[in-house]
Amino acid sequence: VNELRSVVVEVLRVFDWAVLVYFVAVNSSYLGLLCLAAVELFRYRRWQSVTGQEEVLASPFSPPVSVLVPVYNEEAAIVQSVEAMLALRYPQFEVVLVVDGATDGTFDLLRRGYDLVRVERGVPEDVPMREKPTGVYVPRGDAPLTVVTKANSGRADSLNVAINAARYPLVCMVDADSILDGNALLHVAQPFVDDPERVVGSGGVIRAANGCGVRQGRLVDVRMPREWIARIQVIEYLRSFLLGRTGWSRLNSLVVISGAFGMFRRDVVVGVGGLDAGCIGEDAELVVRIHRRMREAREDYRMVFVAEPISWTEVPPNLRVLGRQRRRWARGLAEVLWRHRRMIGNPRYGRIGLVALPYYVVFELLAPLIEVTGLVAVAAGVALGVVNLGFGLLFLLVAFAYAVALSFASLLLEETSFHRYHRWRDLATAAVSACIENVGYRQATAVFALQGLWAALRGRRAVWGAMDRTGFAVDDDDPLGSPRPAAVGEPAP
Amino acid sequence: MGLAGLLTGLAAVGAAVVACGLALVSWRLGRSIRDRRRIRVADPLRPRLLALVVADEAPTEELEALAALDRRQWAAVEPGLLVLLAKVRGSARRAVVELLRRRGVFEAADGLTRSRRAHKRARGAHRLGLLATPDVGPLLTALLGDRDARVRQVAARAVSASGWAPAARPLLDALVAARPLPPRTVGQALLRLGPPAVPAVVAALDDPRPPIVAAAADVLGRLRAAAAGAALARLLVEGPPEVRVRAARALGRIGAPAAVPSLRAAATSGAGPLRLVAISALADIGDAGACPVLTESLGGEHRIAAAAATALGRLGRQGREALEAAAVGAGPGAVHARSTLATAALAEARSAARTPPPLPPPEPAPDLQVPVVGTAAQ
Repeated sequence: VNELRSVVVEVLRVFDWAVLVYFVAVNSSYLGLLCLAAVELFRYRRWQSVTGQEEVLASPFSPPVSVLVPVYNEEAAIVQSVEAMLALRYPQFEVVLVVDGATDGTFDLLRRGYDLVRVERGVPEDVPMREKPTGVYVPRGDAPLTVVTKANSGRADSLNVAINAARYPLVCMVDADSILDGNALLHVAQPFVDDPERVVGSGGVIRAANGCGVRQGRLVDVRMPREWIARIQVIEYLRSFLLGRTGWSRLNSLVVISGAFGMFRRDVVVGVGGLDAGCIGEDAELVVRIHRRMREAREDYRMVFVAEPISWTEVPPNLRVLGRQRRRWARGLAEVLWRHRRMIGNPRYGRIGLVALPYYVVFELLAPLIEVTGLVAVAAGVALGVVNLGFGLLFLLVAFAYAVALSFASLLLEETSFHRYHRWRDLATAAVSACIENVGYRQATAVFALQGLWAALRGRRAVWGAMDRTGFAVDDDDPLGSPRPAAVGEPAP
Repeated sequence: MGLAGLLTGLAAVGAAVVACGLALVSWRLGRSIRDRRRIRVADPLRPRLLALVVADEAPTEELEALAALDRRQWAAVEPGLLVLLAKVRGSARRAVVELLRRRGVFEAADGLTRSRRAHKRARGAHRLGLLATPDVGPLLTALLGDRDARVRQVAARAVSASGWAPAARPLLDALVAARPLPPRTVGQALLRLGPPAVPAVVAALDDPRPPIVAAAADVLGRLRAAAAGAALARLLVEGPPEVRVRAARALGRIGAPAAVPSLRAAATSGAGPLRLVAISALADIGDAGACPVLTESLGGEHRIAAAAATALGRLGRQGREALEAAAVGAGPGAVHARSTLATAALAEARSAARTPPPLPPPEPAPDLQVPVVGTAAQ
């Protein structure tokens, strides 16, 4: 028994040290990315006054864009969302809406709202489609809108249908429930105008919209949400987009462009075969696949991230929905990395293979596993006397304080660059959220991510599940913007 | 790492948290104080600025008063004046330019263009473009070869805003320079320079470098420069592939009937992109004689067939008859024909709804419900 105990003690001691080293490494990498993001934002601010965005708006040379919107059961706000999309500022664009076998009144609302007329229009099969279109509709008015109906087959397949139906050289994939900034297309298309030969994809910052005031599909008042769980996600999104995207973009190693708003060259997306309808992390998978094909073909290309907040989305307001979302994210990440495992550590794929993907394996995929087991090991170490109780608590305190420092630095960058939260009360709420994130929330999301990884390992059928949204729709007569219920989600592919 | 190490770490991250928190609060406080101060200083000056831009002739008194503002006051109004400069025309613009000149904004902008920092050079170029006086052209043209790509782009926009037509040739040359400009930036700059730039752009059609010729053709088409018709028609036949595509598009936009035979040939046997563009160009010109060629193209691959159907839909009665004949069949061409006919019916219904009801009453709108396809055509 004593021998067994000494083996366990030794294993725990080694593991605890390993956790400590991992903790230092992961947080230092975050700090490094944050510094890169700070440099990027600083440069962005310096150049902001001379970007020539009005020129892009006025130029007939600006590349036309097809905005692709997969829609499932979105009856609560679909007409308002489409209205906002059609009101985007851009010289030439169309909105292609694919109704993915909606079972509620989504299509009827669209038909009535836009006086849709069915037309017989062939849709080419430039990228594979699991479910073919069953109808193509256009408005009787002159709105640049095309609505395609089809049997339910999931978001990725709906986007493939939309890519096939798109007429323009740039495609912008957008979630129907996102609230877009009026200049969103201008911001994200700018890299394609500035560097048309090399830029193949661009993405922008997604922010949490809970609690914000919305009028006619436009964000009119940025506020912190009412629920603490959503407030914490505001901080999480802020940090994640600074660390995960802006920093990586600075290194020219961006591997994730959010599915909620990403723009790509249509010919490139068609060239790689469109989105993978069998992958739950289809947006990240598309980006990694584009990197892979481009690197294999030795193309000179760029994937760009625009630091401007351009899209606002409702984040899960409760643990149940959050759990479902995080399990899906973790599973998606695991699937993407597994599918492209050949790239990991492979010099042929440059920084993507040698830096970005290994980083995602070690510091993203394995992080929840190490965080949860680390906590258990420290507790076990304390119980077995391997770790001094004071040392254990102090270690946890340092870990939490480091995380809080990163969140505060992210808040500082937001304040110095975009300054979207004007109220002092919002700033205070954000600061408190950054602190309490580490107590309970962080551990819960780590457990959800582990469950997602476990599901991926067992190869269980991927389920999107429904997200109970409260919606942001605001009556024009109601300046306070009482939320009205909305249901958004997508069933299994 | 022992307890002492952890304590040091805790102290360090704790200090970082406090520093970030303090910086956050200070930044916000500073911003709020600066904003309030700027408003307090700028508000009383607003009537003078308004008087400056609404008068028919520059009011000397207002100009003198604004030119004599102290540094703090000028710092509060200058950003607004620069924004205003991009929006006003005529005498208002002249008055603002004069004021900015007196305040030394021209010299300051000129100085910025020689800065070591790229963003400052860009800012200088931008301001010179806003001032748009005849003397800024050569300064901005020199920046088209700047070592920073973004500065080059800002300079291209600025030189076009200045309206200095001799910049046309350097702009075209910048397409193939060691430090190049993107074609869209050059195209838009030339378009903004407008008709005064046309002779230089027409001359560029004889340049041996295809990117320059392609860009020139594109711009001439958008400027509807009829003088370039013959040269473009020659390029449609003899040019390299990319130039042929641009020439075809430009000929369509110009509406050059002399190019119809070459366009018809390209619409029948050209390579994919050229064929697509030639089909649209025939419709742009309104060549009803192209109906047989376009009807034949209805049997082509999806995008060619769709373009041919759209082109036929734009060719008046003859095009419509060709579409109606093609719509009877069952092939992919028939689907495109029916789609175009339905779209045309919608456009007619829209146009009828916009115009006041004529006498006698209009024909009822055609039934727009066409047979259900069920699945994709191809």
